[in-house]
Amino acid sequence: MTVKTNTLGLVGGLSLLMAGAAWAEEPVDFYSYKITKTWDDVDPKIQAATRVNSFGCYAGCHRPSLEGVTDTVLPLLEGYDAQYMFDQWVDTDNRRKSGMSSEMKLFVYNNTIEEMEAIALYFAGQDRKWDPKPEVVASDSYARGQAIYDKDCKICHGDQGASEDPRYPHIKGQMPAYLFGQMVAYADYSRNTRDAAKMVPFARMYDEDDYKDIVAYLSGMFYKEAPKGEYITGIGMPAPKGFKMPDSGQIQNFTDDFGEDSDYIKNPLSYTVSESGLTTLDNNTQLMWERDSSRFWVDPVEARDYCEALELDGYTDWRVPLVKEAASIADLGDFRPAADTEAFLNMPRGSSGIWIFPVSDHPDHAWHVGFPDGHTMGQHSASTKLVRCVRADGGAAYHNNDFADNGDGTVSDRLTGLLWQQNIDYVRRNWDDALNHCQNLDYAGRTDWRSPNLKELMSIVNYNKQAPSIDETFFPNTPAELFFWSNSTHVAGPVHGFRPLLDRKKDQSEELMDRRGVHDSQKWMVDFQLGGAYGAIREFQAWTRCVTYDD
Amino acid sequence: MKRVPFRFATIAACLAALGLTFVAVAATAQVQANSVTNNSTYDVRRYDDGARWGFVTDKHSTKVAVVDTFLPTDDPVVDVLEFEVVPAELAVSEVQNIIVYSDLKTPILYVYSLTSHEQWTMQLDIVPEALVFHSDGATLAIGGQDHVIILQPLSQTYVQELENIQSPFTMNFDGGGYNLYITEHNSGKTHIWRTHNDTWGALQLGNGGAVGEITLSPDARLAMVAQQDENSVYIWDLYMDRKFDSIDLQAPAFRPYVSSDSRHIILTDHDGNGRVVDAWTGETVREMDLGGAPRVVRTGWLETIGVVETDKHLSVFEIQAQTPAQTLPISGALNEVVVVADSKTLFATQDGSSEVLVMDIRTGEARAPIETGLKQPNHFAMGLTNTLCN
Repeated sequence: MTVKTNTLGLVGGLSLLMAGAAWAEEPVDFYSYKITKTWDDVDPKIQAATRVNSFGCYAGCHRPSLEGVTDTVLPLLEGYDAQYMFDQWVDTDNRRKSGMSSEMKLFVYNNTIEEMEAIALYFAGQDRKWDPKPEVVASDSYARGQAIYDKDCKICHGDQGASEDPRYPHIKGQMPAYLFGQMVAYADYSRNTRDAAKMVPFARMYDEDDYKDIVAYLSGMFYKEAPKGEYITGIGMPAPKGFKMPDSGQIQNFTDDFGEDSDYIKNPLSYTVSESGLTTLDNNTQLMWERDSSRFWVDPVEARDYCEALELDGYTDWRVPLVKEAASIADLGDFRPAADTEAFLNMPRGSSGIWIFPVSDHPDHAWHVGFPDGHTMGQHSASTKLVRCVRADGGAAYHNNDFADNGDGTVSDRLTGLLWQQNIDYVRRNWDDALNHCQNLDYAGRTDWRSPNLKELMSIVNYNKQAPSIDETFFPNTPAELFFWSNSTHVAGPVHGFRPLLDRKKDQSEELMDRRGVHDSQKWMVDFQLGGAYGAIREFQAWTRCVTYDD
Repeated sequence: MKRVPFRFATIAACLAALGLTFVAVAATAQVQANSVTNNSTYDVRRYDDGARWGFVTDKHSTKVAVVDTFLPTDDPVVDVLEFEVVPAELAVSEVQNIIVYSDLKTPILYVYSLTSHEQWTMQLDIVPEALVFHSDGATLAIGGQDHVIILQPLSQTYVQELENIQSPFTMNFDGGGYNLYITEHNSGKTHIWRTHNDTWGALQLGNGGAVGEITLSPDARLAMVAQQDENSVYIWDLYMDRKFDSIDLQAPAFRPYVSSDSRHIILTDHDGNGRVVDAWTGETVREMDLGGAPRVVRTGWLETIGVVETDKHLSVFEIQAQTPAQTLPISGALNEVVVVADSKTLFATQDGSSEVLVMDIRTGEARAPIETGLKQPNHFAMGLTNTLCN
C-alpha cells in the first residue's frame, strides 16, 4: 500500500495567487515572441530571481526531474528547448487545451515576458533524469513501444525521444501519464496548436494500448490510469425552492471608492445547524450540507461513493457538491479557512480543498474549492481532496440559471435576481477602473450598475461547457481568454502563505474592518474558459461585466 | 470616509440643500456578520482548529491542558484532557483532529480524538520514539529502534514497516508529502522513501561522520545537518540533487533552522555565535553574538524576526537588519517554544514553572503568563503554527 499525495498542499496552495510582478501593461504579443537570448545573456540578478521563480513551479504542481517522483500527470519541465517551452506556456490561455493545460492559464499572466523567457531558458539548461525501471525495460510493452517508436517517431524525436532538434520536443524520461495524455489529445484533435498537425496523423495511427507501450519505452515507467467514474453533471437539476443568492461574506472595506463587495450587502451568510449537529442548512440557498468535511483524503470516485453511502439526519440523498454550490459557502471575509467555522466543522486551516463536479475540459479534470481562501480551480482525478456532501429537497441543485434576454442589452437571471450587462465593451481595465467603470456605466437605460461580487460572477458560469464557459445564447462573444473582474478582494492578500492569521471575522475589531492599504492588493477574478476563480493583483488588466439587482 | 459615487453625491447634496439627510446604501449596510442558528444539543467540546488550540502536556501526569492561543480572556486554559499515559512524545493532526502520543516506554501508539474525546491504541513492535505526520494529516510515520512504521491512526490501518535503518535517526516528510527523509545520526546516511510508489532513494548528508537532526527547509528544497565532528553545517539541495554549501562556524553547531518562508537559514554554535544565511545564495546576511549558549531557534512576524533561546535569555533580533538583539530574561530552561500562526505570539513551557510563558516577538515584551495548573508543563503541541519547519 502506498500513501496518496494531496497535490495542493500547504506549499502548493501558495502558488495560486498571482505574485506581483505581473502584467499590468498592455498585452504583449506573447504568442509570436521569439527567444533570442541564451541563459548566459540573462542579467545575473534576473538569473538569481529566475532560480527562485522556477522553484515556484516545483512548489506548486510540477516535480523536479531529479527527485524521481512519478505519480503526477503534469510534465517535467527540464530539458525542453526554451522556445518550445515558452510557446507551450503562453498557449495555455485558451489555445492549447490538451490534458490539464487549462490549469496553467493563470500563470501565463504571473510573470513578465522577460521572466517567462528566463524561466524557459533556465529549465532548458537543466537535465531531465532518465531512470527507467528495470521491470519496465524487461517488459514486452517496452519492446513493443520501441518498435513503434523506431518506426514512426524516431525520425523527428531522435533516439528514444532525446531530441536535439528544437522543432521536436525532448520527450525521453517525461512523465508517463503526461505522454499518454498528449497522444490521446493529438488523436482527438484537442491538442491542435503550433505544430500539432504534424503529430495528429501519427497519434491516430495507433490506439491507447500502443500509447502505453510507447510511454513505457520513452519514460521507462508504466502508465497508470487515473481513477475513472461517472460523476454528477448538474444538467437539468432544478434550483432549490426559496433559493436566494448569498452574499460573499466580505464586509471589510478595501478601497476608498464606492462599488466594492462590502458596499452591497443583501443576503448575509446565514445557516441553521440541525439538532443533531451533523448537518447545516444554508438559509439562503436552501442547500443542506454535511457539517463536517471528511477527515480523510479521497479521489473523486471515492468522494462520490462516500456521499452516496452517507446517511445523516434521516437523509440518504447526499451527493458531491457542484461547483457553484461549494463556492456558495465560501466566506470571502475570512481566510484559512474561508468559511464559517461554526456552521462548517473540520475546515483545516492548512489545506482544505473539497471535490466538486462536473468534470470540465477533460474526463479526468474535475474541480475543487480550496477553502484556505475560497479559490475554485481544476483538479485532476489522480489527486486527492477532502469531501463534504450536500443535498437539497426534490433533487435540487444550485447549478442551472434561469436566464431571460430582455431585448435591451440586458439579461435577467430569475434564479439569482440579478440583471446582467449582456454586451461588454472589450476594454481591459485594472480592478479599480473596473469598479469605477460599472459605477459610472449608463447602459440600457439604467445607471445603477456595479461590478459583481465573486459569487455573482461565478453564478453565470456554465460549468457544462468550456471556452467560453457561459451560455452564449444570452452572453454572446464572451472572451474565453484572460479573466473578468469581480468587486471582491482577496482578503488573505499577497502575504506568503496567507499569513498572518487574523481573528475570525466575527471577532474582528473596527480597525480590521478597514483594510484600505492593508491586505487590499489582490482581487478576485473569474475565467470564462472553464470557470475558475483566482486572486490577482489589482493592476492586472481584465474584462468587466457589470450587474445590478433585477428589482 | 469612503467616497460616495457622483450620482449619490449629487442627490445627497440636493437633499442637504433641502435640509434633508441622505444616507448612502453602503453606509447603512456595513458590517453584517454571518448568522448561525445552532440548534444542536449534541455539540461537545471540539478542539479541531489547529491554529487555535495549544495542548500542554505535563511531565508528571496524564493531564493535558487546552490553551486558547487566541487569548480571548485572562484565563485561556479552557479544558484539561485526561490521557491514558503520560505523553512523552506527541503530534497533532489538523486534518483528522487527533493527537497521537507515546510514553516512550511501551510499544503502543495512543490516539486521542479532539472531536469525540474517544481514545484508542495501536499495538506496535517498537516503542514509538518519534511521531511525524504526513501533510495529508492522515498518515503517520513512527520512528523507533532501527525501524519506521507507517500507519493511519484514525482508521487504525497499518500501512508499512520500513527497515534497514540504523538508530538514532530523525525523519521528516516534505511539505507536499512526496518523500520521507530518514537521516541516521551516526553517519548522515539518509534514506528517502517515496511515499506514493514505495520506492527508495538515498543521500549522504555530511562527510560520513556523526550528524545532528536533519532540518528540511519548509519548501523541502534544502536538507541540512550539523556535522558533529566539525564546526560546520552541511546543506544539500534536494531539487538540484547536489551539495548546496558547507558553512563553517566557530564552535560545534546546533541543529540549523530555516525560516518559515524558506528564505533564511539561521545557524548557531555552542559559543553563542549566530549567523543568518540567505537560503538561495548562501551569502551571510548577518552575524551576531547571542550572549549565551543557544538551544532553540524560531522565526516569526512574517519571517522578519528571529528568536533564539539561550541558557540565559530569549534573544529577539531582526533577521535582515543589523540592529541589536533584544533580550528577555528567562528563569529556567524552556521545554518547548512555539510561535503561533499569528506569526507574532510566542508560547513556551519552562522548567520549574507551572506557567506557560507568552511573548509578543514584535515588541519583545512578555505578556501575562498562563497558569496551566499542571505540575510541570512539558510539550506545547498544535496542529498548525508559524513554524512550518522541522
